[in-house]
Amino acid sequence: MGRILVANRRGHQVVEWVTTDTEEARHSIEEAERILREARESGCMVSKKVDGRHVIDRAPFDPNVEEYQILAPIAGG
Amino acid sequence: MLPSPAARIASWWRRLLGMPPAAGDSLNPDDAAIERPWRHRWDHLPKRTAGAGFSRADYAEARRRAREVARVTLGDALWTELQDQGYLDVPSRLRPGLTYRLRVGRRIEVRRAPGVRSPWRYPYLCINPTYPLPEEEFFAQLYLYTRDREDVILKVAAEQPWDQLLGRTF
Repeated sequence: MGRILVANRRGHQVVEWVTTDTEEARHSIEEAERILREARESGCMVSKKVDGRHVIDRAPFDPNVEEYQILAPIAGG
Repeated sequence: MLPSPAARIASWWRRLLGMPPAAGDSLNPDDAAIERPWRHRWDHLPKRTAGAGFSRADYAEARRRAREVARVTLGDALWTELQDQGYLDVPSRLRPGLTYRLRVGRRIEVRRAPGVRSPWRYPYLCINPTYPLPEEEFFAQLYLYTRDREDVILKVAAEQPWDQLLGRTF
């Protein structure tokens, strides 16, 4: 199972997917991929957990990643 | 319970203007779903607030969840370092001799090794998220930006002569 931490004013909310070979699992992966793509297209960055810590990642969505996080765009001032 | 006519009108206007839904808005179809803050405009919000309808309990819960995710994002070693000393230092990769000192909810302090010139006249950099976030959550995100995407920091930072709380976090 993987998850996306969607940082927002509520602290964060979680989108999860499973990698089993079922219709429901495929749907959860598609939904997770769609959220990540939408966030990136809106200027957000994405990090993924690697060896126990998060690093900013530019690669396409990979359902085998344990955890992604959507980072807010930043602005000066 | 059915929403009042005034609540219906307020909800309708919020959607029309691209504003985020009020907390607990039963007319918002996404209320029970994931809030995607990049879909909304947040410029109208007063500084250091999360929007209409956010109760004291909502703030407390948001900060609790933020602390949890900040720890996961940084990892235990950095989290402990932050708790012990109150800041994290990130050495610049693009400007050798500069170090960014990050503190929760405050501007970045730029520190220089002796003899090193800074690209900025002033020692503080003001960088905010474009939507409201609890300050510990944004701290962890800013750490990732500074360590992994310093080019973005250099591009967006607004230099300032003094330290101050950030306006878009709470």
